[in-house]
Amino acid sequence: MKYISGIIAILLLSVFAACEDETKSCDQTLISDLGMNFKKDTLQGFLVKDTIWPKVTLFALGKDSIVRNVPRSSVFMSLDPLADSSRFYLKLDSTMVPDTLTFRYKRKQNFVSPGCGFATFFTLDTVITTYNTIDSLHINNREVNSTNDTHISLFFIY
Amino acid sequence: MIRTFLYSLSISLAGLLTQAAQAQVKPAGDTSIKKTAVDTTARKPAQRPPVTAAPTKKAVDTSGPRTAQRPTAAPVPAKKPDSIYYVPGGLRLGIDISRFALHFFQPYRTDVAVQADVRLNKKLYGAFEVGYNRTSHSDSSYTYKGSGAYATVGIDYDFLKKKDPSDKNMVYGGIHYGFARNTYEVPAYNIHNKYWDSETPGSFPKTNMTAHWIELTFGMRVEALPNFFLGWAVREKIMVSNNAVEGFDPIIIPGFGSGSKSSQFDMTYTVSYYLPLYKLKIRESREPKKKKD
Repeated sequence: MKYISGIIAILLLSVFAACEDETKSCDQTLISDLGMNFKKDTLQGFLVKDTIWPKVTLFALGKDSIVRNVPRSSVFMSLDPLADSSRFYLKLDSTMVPDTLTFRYKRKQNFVSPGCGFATFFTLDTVITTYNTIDSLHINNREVNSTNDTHISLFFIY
Repeated sequence: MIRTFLYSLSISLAGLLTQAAQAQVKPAGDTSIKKTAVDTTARKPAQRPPVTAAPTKKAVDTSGPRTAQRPTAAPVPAKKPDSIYYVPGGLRLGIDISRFALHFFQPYRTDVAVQADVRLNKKLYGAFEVGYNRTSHSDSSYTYKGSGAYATVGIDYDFLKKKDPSDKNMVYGGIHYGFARNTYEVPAYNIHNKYWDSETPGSFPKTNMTAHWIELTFGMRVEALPNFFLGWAVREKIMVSNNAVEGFDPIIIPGFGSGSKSSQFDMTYTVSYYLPLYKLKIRESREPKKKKD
């Protein structure tokens, strides 16, 4: 009998969890955004570390800025859901020459969850970049969906 | 929060009612087998099986004093005849009223569930459930419509040690197989992208899917009034397979719950009525159980 109250409490908690209204909350903080992080490459690939650039500016060509002159070690950007390619301007520091990144991809509409509804998912085909400040890039994951991944790593040597 | 509180209160009240009902039912054990079995070892072998239909002609052999069963010269003791008695069997048919409460928490779903069980032998019951679900949701980004039916079939094992074999109360655990067929569609959705300031409208055509799952259940059923039962159960449902379209799970799979989860916890509260239809013949060995050396 002494365990009855504990058992009832566990049951009630489980019932509340099972009765949750799933249409009320969208638990995905980033829905199908492309993630990109910055890495400093020293010793020709033998020592690679995450790096923070002091004044990062990023925007899609012809659109508003996503970030402007803020210190960042990674950025997240939304690809154009109405076209099969997107071009972004990326400047990492006020003294650095900016680069332009071009993403080519396939699009598909997916159901994310009852709370979030639908979102456009992307599959990256190719990523083309200028190499003014960027030394190289690596595609970690081609599937840009509701998971909060880092899809691309940009490598710098300085 | 108020809804949650009311729901928990109703469950607690139901539990109390169940316990009270059980307390009412138990004292009726005057005709218990145990008691009469003790009586029979005394003097009158003809009275030994209390609710038995077994022949009593050999009963005399078994009712002798214990010392007689341990003769020093006779190594093979006489075998006691099996005890045979009848227990009531029938169909218990009920409706799961927790499905209506569920609509209060998840307004987009409407469920109806009917449960039934039949006694197969002293401890085992065949359990069945059929139900229907309709899911309808609409907000600024999409509209969803779904409906389907499901059925489960399985076995419940009664853990309750009964003094009175005609006692129909149960504390049980069981394993059930569930099958559902569901049709769902999204007549219209719209994906709004804030950064690109774009709208992507679309729709998802009507699609059929089926699902199979296994559910483990534990619960109790108590006869609150003659032939009128109240019962609750907790269930853990484990998805075995479903053929939902990739990239679009249904919001609700009838009988299972959330379409995006691989396992689902559930609680039921059933009001049922017992239809006495037949009697089951139970045969039990009266030989003492072998002790472990």
